[in-house]
Amino acid sequence: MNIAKAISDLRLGRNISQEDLASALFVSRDLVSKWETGVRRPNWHMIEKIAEIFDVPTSYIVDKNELVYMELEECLPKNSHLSADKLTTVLNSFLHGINDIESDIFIRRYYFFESAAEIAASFHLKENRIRSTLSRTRKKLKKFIKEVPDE
Amino acid sequence: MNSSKMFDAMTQIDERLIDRSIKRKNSIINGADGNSLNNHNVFALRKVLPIAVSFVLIAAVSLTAVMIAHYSKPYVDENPTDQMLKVGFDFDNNKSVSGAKIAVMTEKSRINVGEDLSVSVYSVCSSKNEKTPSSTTAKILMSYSRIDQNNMIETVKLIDDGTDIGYTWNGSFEQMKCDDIVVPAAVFTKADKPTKIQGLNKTDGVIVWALEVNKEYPDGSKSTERDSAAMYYKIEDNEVYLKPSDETMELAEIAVVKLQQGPVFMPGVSSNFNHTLYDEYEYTAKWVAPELITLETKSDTAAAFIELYEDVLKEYRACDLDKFYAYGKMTYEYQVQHGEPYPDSQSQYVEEFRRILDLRESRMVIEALLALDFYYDQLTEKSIQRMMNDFMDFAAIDYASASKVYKDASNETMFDMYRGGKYGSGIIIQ
Repeated sequence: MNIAKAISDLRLGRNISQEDLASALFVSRDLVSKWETGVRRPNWHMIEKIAEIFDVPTSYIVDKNELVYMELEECLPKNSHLSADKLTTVLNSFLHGINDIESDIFIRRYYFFESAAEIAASFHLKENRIRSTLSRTRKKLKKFIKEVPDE
Repeated sequence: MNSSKMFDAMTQIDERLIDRSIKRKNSIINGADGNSLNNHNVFALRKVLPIAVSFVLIAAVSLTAVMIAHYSKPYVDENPTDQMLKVGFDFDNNKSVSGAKIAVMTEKSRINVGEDLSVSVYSVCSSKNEKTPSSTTAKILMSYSRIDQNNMIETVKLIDDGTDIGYTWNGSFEQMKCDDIVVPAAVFTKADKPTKIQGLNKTDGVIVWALEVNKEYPDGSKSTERDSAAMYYKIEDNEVYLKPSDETMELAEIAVVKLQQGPVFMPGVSSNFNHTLYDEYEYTAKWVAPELITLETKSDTAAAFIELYEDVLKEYRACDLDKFYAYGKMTYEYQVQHGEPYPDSQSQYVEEFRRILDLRESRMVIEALLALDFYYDQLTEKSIQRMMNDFMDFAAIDYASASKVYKDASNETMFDMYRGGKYGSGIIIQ
């Protein structure tokens, strides 16, 4: 899954400037640039709007059937009724609370959508260790979310 | 939109976290991050250390006695940072020596929280009084265990061909390999409920290394030998204190009775059992196993395990467990009172007893497989069989604990009882 490349390809394919896309989405050109360079990631609402502008399915940008997406959603307990804001607060609290390395690996996977192999290469670690670390962190996150009282 | 909540929440995480991640990645790429998971100095050491290995190996054996002498001391006291710790090679002159031996040495006995631990793992293979094998393969495993957390087992090193790495066979102990391994800082995490172990101050977790050596002989016969070594750790303030232990029996006790979950290296071998899950099955009968199957591990094999598990669990729950444990208690008390096994070892009920025990072990093995972070497609019939064998030992402790009548008995007694030894009824495993 490469959201940055998908957005960049769509925009360049239609010969639209970053400024024009930013205007259409009511965001800054700087933010569009960050999306395309992978430094930041658009939320789902923005992905829907981008897909609408370029008349492509959202799966062109983010495929919900991809493993990384499913892994991420797996962290949310099925009966959780936390609001989006609350969930963000919980997630931030969790990521600040765990070990820096675990946190960084988690962010590389679920924010930047890097593969385990890519993370392993950049951390000089075995891929299996990255997978195990991610698996444990996901379980911890799920447990952490479960313990947050519903609003 | 609920299905995208996590996706959106991730897009909103603290930008400092994102920037830190970018910064760490860049610094690792540039080789400037001293706190990266694998310190590059280790690779330099890897080139130097093998030269000194033969000398250090002798020292490791000799100093084992020193290590054991320090064994009963609380490790938080008098624990100088720069002291090298050693564990393993517990050769006993009066007993036959296993064909596989592993020893581990650390550079320090105390590290800072957030610091990686560099260890040297030495593995040797014995050929004394044995015929020369035609091929030898070996595997070094490392397990991280924390008291309140699921654990992991990692294969650190696979040695496909012993002859390729200087392994020679001349009728004596030979160094097989020295591997410098970095235990990442992330492994050392504080437990919510530290446990007192072996008279040591409260302990947060344990790291275990294991060696498994498989030999094949010219006549087609095969043998497998294993050994393991463990090191406990305790986190206080901003420091991680280390304490070696090679008492694998004690480790079993810790894992089963104290840690109560996660993979367990039984004497020389590896197993896994999630005791938390076990309790849930027992007391709430809640079906939770599928939640443990991550997306990475989903496969036809996993599905087959779940199906098998459901059958075993159904049959096990239909058993009269009160009677099962009462029978265990009765035979145990008879043994203690009369000094000989309970005579009714051929009765019809004994058959039922055996059946329940088999079911119980099968259930535990499958639970362990389900709880493992292994990839199911990598499990072989051999590895599953090995786990089954391991659980014969594991189940001994678990059974005795579950019976709740042996709480005053040592683990050794429990094993003996289960195996029909000194205190045993002799009906369980013969």
